[in-house]
Amino acid sequence: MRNDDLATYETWDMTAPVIPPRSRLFHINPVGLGTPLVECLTSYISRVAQAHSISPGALQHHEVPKSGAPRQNIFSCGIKSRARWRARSRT
Amino acid sequence: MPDYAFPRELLDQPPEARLGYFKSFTIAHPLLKEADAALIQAIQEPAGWSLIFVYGPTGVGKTTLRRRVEKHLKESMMEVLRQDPGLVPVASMEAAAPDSSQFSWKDYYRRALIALDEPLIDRKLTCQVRSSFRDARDTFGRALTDPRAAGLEIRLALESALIHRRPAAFFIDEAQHLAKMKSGRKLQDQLDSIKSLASLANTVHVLVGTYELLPFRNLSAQLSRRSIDIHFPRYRAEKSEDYTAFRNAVFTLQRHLPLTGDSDLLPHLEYCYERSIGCVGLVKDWLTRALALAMNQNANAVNVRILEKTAWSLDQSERMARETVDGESDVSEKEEKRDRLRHLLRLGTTSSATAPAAARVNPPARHVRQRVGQRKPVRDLVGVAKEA
Repeated sequence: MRNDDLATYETWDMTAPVIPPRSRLFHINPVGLGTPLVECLTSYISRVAQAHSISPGALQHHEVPKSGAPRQNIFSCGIKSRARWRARSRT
Repeated sequence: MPDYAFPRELLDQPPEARLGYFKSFTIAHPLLKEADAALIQAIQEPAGWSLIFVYGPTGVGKTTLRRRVEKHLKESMMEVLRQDPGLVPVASMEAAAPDSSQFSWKDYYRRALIALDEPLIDRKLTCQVRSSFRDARDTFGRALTDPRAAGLEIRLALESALIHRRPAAFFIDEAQHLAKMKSGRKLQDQLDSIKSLASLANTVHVLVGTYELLPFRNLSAQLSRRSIDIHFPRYRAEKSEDYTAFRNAVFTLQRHLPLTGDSDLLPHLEYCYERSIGCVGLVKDWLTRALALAMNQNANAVNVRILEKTAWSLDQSERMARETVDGESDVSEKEEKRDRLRHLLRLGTTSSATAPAAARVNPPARHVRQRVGQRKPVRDLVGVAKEA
């Protein structure tokens, strides 16, 4: 065995490069952005939810961060919430 | 004084750190470089979606190749990634071996969605439910469509995720598991699912697997047009340049063994080749185990006794070699195949020996199954047998 023609191969660094954090939800542009006819927030949330194949309520419940306001599904229009609204408007 | 290829200070570190170092580094041997260049070229080809098949023997370095290409893609897309946080540069998943004899597509879609970091996978709904909001009910008030049943909703979610995230490539490792199924479903149906996903979402799918992936290639004309084959072979002892490259790879590996002594494996090169069947990935796995044993025994180098103790058994190596050689013979482009194609296209055969080629062109006679009770088409003897 001749050892004179031995070569060593370079080594590769396999550490994954750090990429900027990815968004949790899809990037969808609001309809009519920059015009007076820009789409409303509820419509936008519905479309994002549809792209993710989940219900808008689930999206709001799990993905929209809690704020100080009482937690309420903005897509619900049940009798209960309407009754509450009436009660509130009477006072 | 042996010349170390690894950083000197590694020798003062605990065995785990040294083992970690040896596990983590990758050598750029010629076949890996070749496959790497071919795969990157295939992914960046501007011909729209395609299916790329990467196949090679076990332990040749396919997963290393995948990680390398992922890294390359991420680095090359860095500028775009900074501008668009909705983009996922590359996603990869491992096709799970099914528990039963059948491949589970639902499991596949779930894993694919996890690979794409999709939120709320358990709450996916089908579009019918979404559009009508309250699903149809029969006269007893039972729901006709269960919003969380079937695999449809999760498939639609995966399509949508691929469309919105636009990965440069979607890797499916261990893709030979896709071929595992009961006899009921055809192989082509299995691949058509992947194909339609790739075409609907316009995404390059890379199927990485062993030679068991081979039956997937060229199942239909459309798939052939859209698919690219990349063969990642082992080093073949019968080719001298291959054997030299294998020797160089072993030499490079031994110089990176973080031990105080000088491990000389080249005198045992043939033994190394024999048990690793010429796959550099297998050599590295083997040397990792040998290194662990050497450090355990406080040996200052990997010697032949340690090698023998950590080697694969003859049975194991033979099994690997047999599968590999079978796969290689399936892959090889033979003159016979070319003749068959030319005959199909009425071009006349290429080889000088026309007569044997023509004989080879005929496919083996198909076995025609006969129906029960139906007789073979033969002439019967008629008349009365004469008494002699």
